[in-house]
Amino acid sequence: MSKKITFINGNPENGSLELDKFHEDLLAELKREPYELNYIELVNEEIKFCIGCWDCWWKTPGLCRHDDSMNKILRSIINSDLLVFSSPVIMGFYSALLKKCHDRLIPLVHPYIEIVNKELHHKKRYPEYPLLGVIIDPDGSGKNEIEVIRTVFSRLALNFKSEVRFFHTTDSVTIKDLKNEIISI
Amino acid sequence: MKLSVFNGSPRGKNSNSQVFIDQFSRGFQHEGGKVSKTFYLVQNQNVTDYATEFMEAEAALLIFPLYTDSMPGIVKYFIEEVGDFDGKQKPVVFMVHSGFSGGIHCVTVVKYLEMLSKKWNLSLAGIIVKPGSEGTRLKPDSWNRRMIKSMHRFGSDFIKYGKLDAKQLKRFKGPDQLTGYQLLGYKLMNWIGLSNMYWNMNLKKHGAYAKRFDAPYH
Repeated sequence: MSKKITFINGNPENGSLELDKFHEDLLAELKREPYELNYIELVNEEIKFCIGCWDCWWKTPGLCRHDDSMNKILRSIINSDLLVFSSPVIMGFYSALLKKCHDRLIPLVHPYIEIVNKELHHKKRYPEYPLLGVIIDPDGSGKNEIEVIRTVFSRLALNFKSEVRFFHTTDSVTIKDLKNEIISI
Repeated sequence: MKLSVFNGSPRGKNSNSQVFIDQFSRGFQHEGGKVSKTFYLVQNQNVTDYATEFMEAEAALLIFPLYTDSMPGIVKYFIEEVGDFDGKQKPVVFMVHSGFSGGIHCVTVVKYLEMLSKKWNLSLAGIIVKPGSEGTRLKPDSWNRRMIKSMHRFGSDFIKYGKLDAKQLKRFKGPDQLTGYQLLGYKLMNWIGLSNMYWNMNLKKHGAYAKRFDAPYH
């Protein structure tokens, strides 16, 4: 069975041209590999902001009240072996477009609480979650800003009981090396 | 001093953030300050106007709940709309609160806010962190006495000194990780089946208890 990758591109409209080119080159390489790749450009999807209603936790467990693109995105994510996020750094953090999507991931976890490393976290809803990969266009930002972004994704991995398998900035990895890293997962 | 307030909760007026805003404002006004207006970032169709209000404010309070380990999307959207600007040492207070106990959940977004305040050349009076905030709006004032007293003090210190007391902020936040007693308490509640009482109560209220473990995308 071929591996499945969900690739979420959080580059906004009028975003980073360098990141667009990076994606183009990476996808050209990945398309040659025997993977089922679902490449999602958030800018072309209809995604509403999370409103904190918790319907996905206590009214329609696992399902958001918003009927928009997140339905198919969540289905793709939870059935993938690898979930890749990409975004430029805008105002010191990843894009609001990607953050909007990130907030809408909570239907994938359960509201029940458990203790992990002396911290409170939510339990899994699904038996398995994908490994995570992150690609960031630093666009001149400093290492402290990149470190903050790295930490946020490592917290997502903690909540997904998964791990961040790779975290790269576009100026620190070649397309070939990244492709090899992805296919080795 | 005139304070503009930015409520970054996706729940808008019916939010725990609003409770904190109200108490901070009372302390601020008690010392002669004026709260000009509260802007609800959930009304993101107005984000351009709100960004202008922030840039033109004499002083500002931006408050939001923690969403997936950082700011809610509507707040990031607002930050991007403000963009690069010179705050000219505008006095600002940030506040972030999380449903979970333990300050650790807010540590990363606090680092971000510190960097943001430098980027915007703000006079950062302090970052208020309040873990365990879920349900604050549902509690009577008698249950929130300590929080109310602290938020009043933060509001009054902001106008009096332009700075919040670091020890008071630390005490309000509490420890980053659960203490031994808290861990024991949670383990005990787990053991007797009470730790998820709040969720089970609401699942039953919505007739969804039998579906609580649904995994609809598999």
